[in-house]
Amino acid sequence: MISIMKKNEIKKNAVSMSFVLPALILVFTFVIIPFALSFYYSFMDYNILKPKAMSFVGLDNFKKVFTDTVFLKSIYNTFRFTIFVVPLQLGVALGLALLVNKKLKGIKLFRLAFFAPTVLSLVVISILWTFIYNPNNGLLNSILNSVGIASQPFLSDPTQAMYCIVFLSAWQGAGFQMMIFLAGLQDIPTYLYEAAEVDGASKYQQFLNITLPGLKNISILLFLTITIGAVQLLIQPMMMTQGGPLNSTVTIVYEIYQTGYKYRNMGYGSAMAVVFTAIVLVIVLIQNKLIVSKED
Amino acid sequence: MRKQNNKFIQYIVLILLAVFFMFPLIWMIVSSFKNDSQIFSDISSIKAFALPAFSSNYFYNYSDCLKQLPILKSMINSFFYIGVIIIFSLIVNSLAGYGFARLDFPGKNILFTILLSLMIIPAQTVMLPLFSIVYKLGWINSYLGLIVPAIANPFYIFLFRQTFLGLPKEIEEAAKLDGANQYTIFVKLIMPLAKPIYATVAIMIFVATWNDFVWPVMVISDPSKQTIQMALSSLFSIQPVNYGRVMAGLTFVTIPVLIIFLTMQKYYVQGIVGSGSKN
Repeated sequence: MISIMKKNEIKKNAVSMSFVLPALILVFTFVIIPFALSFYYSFMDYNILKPKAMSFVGLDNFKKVFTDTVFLKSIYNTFRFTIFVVPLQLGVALGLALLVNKKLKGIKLFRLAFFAPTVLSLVVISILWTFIYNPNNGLLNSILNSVGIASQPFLSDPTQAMYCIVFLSAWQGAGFQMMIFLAGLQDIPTYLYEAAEVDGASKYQQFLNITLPGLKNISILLFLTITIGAVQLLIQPMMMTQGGPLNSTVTIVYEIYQTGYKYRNMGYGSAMAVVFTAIVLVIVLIQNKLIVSKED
Repeated sequence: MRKQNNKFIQYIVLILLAVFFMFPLIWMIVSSFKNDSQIFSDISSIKAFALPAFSSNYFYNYSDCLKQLPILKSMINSFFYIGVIIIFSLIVNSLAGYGFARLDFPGKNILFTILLSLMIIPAQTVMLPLFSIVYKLGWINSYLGLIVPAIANPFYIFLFRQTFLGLPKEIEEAAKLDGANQYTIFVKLIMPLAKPIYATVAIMIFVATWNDFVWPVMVISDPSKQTIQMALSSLFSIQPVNYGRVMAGLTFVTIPVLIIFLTMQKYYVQGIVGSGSKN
């Protein structure tokens, strides 16, 4: 005989769980299961067009992955992109935030102007900047020419192409982090600055000793999120250069997409995805470690 | 006098930067009203950023673009499936957010921790196997494949939970004393109080889904079911590339997002700032 109290408790739990159950079922089906499957498939030779022929191949896919020159190049390219875009975008975002954190008339319009690019889709931005970077008819070369600089090959040059993507990506994203930095700046109590002013500290000293430490937590969070976002670079190379020229803009996720979706090679593609997940985890762990050590 | 100079310099810097961030957009919008020969002859001067003084038909590119491709249809498609996602997503994620904020059940903490850690998994790890799951469910080339996987989102659950935690408990307790059940409390009390976060999340979902490209490309193969970004990409791949027409397409696709952004910036920015700083 279940006591009345137990019955009530079960009923209460059932009601509570009914709130979270739809979300949990969906997340389980469409996030957790695929995540687990990616590990499972990585050990299989599995082409989605020939599902019955799926067979276990152990570590073969991984051996292939580490000798795949294009995939290895994609790792190199992705890191090249990340190493440049993260400091650039963060630095610009911080600079903008400092600039717009003033009580000037119309400052809100300027904030909007800087934030506007972030609202555009990456497809729109990729197409637009392909036109801008056009070596023959592009807007950028025309602007450079008008100040006496020679036309650049931009996306058609294996060396320049990735940096072009770095630049436009930072242009697109900086406004987003600017808003978060701005909120952080406005959270720093003004009396700290006033006290420092009274003590005779210069603006530069105030910046170093009040502003930067006040932004520390936000900076760490943004650094992490931009980095994770950067290593997932996909749409810009997909639309602008298709990984070229000479595979100089192939990124990890682009390779995963090509292999698993375009060529339907789910097993091999999943092995790449597993390697990618490991890379992301390592980045997260390293950054966590850096944060912990900095706080000492 | 010094203060005046300082202000002046600040404005100059701000204006220069604003030009830097806006020039591609201005070029895009202005070019959408020009034909290609005008675009290329204007490109070497400041006229690149000005509307043509005379034009036989300012809107030629727009009618051309709308004729060439089912851009309007793809817009309708996008509005449709995004609307469905927003409705279900708001319901499912806010219910879960409330459950984790205010209710107790076995395994609550473990489940929430798992949910949070899922936010770190890059979407691309999940992308391929998710495709095979959707394929097996028979949802390829169907909006179900776009809608259902997009409904539950750990990040939005997190945002809702944060908001609900910030609401005063007394209201709920008073209602419980009056004999209200949990569902009534949620619908009649909590939801009205949390309207801003619903608006914020709805806008975030709209912008994210409107701009989504890779997953729709994988799922949808029927051109009549294309989403807006897919239609744009097709427009771009028509040879020979007609700058004016493509610019018209780009501008056209950007307008809804810009409108939403300009009218609802308060909520959109709040969402970004809230998620960025509350960590």
